[in-house]
Amino acid sequence: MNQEPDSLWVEQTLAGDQDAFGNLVLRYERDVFNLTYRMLNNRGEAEDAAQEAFLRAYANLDRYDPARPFKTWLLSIASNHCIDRIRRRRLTWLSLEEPLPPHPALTSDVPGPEESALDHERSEEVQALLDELSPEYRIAVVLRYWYDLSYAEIAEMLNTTESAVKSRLFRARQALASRLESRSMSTLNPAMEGS
Amino acid sequence: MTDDQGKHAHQMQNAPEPEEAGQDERAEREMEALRARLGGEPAAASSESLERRLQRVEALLRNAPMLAPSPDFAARVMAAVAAMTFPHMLNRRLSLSLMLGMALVAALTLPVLGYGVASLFDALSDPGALNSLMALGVSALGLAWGLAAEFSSSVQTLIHETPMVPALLTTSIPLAMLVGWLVWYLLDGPRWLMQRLAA
Repeated sequence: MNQEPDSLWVEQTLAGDQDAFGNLVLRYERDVFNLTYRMLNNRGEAEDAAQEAFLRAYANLDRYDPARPFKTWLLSIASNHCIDRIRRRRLTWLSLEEPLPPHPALTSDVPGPEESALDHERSEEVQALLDELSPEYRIAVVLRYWYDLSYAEIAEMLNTTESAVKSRLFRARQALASRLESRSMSTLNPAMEGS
Repeated sequence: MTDDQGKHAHQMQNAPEPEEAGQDERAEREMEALRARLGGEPAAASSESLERRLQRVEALLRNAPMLAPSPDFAARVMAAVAAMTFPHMLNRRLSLSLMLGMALVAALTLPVLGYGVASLFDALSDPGALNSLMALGVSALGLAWGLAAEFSSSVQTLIHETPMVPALLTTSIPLAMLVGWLVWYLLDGPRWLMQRLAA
């Protein structure tokens, strides 16, 4: 893909060129999808959410501030949408009094060729750990570790303060460390009990 | 020591003694695995520092791969963008305009209505003013009627004197409109209009 700046494609889109927006989709589809997948932990739902994020960006492109990076703006739309989805999902479960959903590994779709990385043990382990965090903590971790965003950028995207972001990240790391340890123990315990 | 570690240590202490050599070896292997997972040395198994665990978490997160969507994802997004219909976007704009319009009407209605009613009462209470108002209305109607009659007679004269002019006008104007619309349509005018309205 060529190295045109995002702002040019945004301007062209606003002038009525849909193909320019197509270039933005191609440039950021991976970033947006990775974020929605890390948040929702279901491939189909993640693609739906990513598509919705792009559509919202397109419909509200006139509100985009060119002084900000387009990627950050797009990711903030995707983040907020994912958090909304998780909240709605939780409400649905509570209202229907359904049991907890099965493990993501059981609900994910048939893996495509690009999912070889997903099948990697480390990726699964990370995803399972992430899934145990609350959405607010999870999004902070995802934005920090996958997108290398600064505390200030994350705070702006999540409409909160830098200190709140630092606090969330610290607590999230602690929680993840604790989960990691308990997972390590639980993988050995059944073997111990069986011996 | 965490609860889990405590439970684990308790289980280890209360584990039945293996009676056979094979079981001994297996238990030892499992202990080794546990030590390896929790930090390597036997003493570290129950005392892995928070710092070390945090570092492991950081390393796991930093090394996790970026995932890609299906190959046809971008095409699907663009199809959905194209399907974001004109009415969908127009409705948003219209609903906003309608809301503002109604607010404006609501704000203006009361003073205008009040002024109108006051003027009407004022005119009705004064016969002279009422008479002049009616005379004004009648003269306005007469003027409009006179203008229409004059225009009609001019058109009739034109048709009588040069019958080709109206015939050409009645055919060339619709034709020009048709050609103009065709050019606009072929130049992607509807999409352009939709984008402009959306923006």
